[in-house]
Amino acid sequence: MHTLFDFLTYTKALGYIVAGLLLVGFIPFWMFLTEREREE
Amino acid sequence: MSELTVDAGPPDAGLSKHLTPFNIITGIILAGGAVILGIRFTQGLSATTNLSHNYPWGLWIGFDVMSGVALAAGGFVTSTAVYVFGMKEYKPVVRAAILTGFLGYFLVVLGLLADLGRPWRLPYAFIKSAGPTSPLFEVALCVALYLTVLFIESTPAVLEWLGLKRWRKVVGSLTLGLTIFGLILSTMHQSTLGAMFMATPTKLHPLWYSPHIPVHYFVSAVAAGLAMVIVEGLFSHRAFHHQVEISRQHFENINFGLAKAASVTLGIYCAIKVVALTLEDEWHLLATGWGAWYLFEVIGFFLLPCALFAVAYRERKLLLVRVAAIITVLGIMLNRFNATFIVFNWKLPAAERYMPSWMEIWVTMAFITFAVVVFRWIANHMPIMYEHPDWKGDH
Repeated sequence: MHTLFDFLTYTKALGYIVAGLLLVGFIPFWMFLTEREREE
Repeated sequence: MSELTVDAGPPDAGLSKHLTPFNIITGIILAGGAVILGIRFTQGLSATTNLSHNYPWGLWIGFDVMSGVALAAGGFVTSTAVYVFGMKEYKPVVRAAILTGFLGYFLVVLGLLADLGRPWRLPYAFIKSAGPTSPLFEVALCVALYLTVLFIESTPAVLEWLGLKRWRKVVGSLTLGLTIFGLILSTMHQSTLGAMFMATPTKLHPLWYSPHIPVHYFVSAVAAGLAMVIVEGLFSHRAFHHQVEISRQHFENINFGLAKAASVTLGIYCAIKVVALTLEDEWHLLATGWGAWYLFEVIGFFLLPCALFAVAYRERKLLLVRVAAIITVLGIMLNRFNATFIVFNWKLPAAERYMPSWMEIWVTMAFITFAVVVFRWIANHMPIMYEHPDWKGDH
């Protein structure tokens, strides 16, 4: 990484991947949270 | 002479009735606070605080303003849930949450007055030298307006207590509009309190500084508000159990509902923090001493209560809900203290770092005590924990 453009491209790319993983991770979190609720 | 003698009972009967341990302790704290504030207003900040040019913000801003505003968010969170989203099951806690919010914002103003001095210049921000491009201007305007909104939202209980039915109807008809206005104002100033730190990129440690800090502050304030409603309910339902009309089951369900919301909000907050670390490429800083402190804050006071709230909601454990709520409240305070003075000027040597003086701590305690005493008096006299018989099902 030599330029601000390099830095922003690198961090934004990683940021999108991390945000995507967190969004996918929200599904099991929600399933865990509401499992008993759905059973009732 | 004997005709003039009146038997009024023991001379100190009236006085001893008021000499309860609660009254004695609160009296000492409040009297001490008044004396210290007297010194502050006559001899200045240097006589009472450890503030300096390096640390213009200390405990009074960190606790009374930054933490106070976040913890008072329960008012707009619960009133929005009930009056905008129609979650009527939370109605029994709305009045207490709004009163807590009002007193919280009142403390914010008191804390600001103590910190700024010259109280007669408070309106200058609007009428003399307004700086509409400054985050501080927005905070000042929003806090002033939202304090007014909370005051009006609190008046139905006062008007019911006074029996002023006509005025009560008028104020009741404003509820939805006030709630939406309060929601807008809260969204604005909760985030702008964070935005103020955007002016300090070289002073605030990179782990706490972020271009997205307004979002962090808003999301964490929602979690703080939800946690504070649970904590306030824990104490007030014990203190005023004789007034509470809802069943224990209903009260527990309210707590579990708040816990579910708090768990999701804290989860979102932790996710935002992870994204922020990535966007600013700061993962390597976690291996430093400040990184350990950052992890202690985020994992210990946000991720842990997020998990505790989730387990407590799932397994229906009320005690766990309360433990998680207390941890969250402490976490918000730690987060605001960190930004305001602990990791602020993190490059300064230890000898030059800020530590609150005992007088700052005492005044903060006095403000909290004042709020507790006022809450207690209002809840003892007005329909806060119960519905007034003439207005059942209305508010």
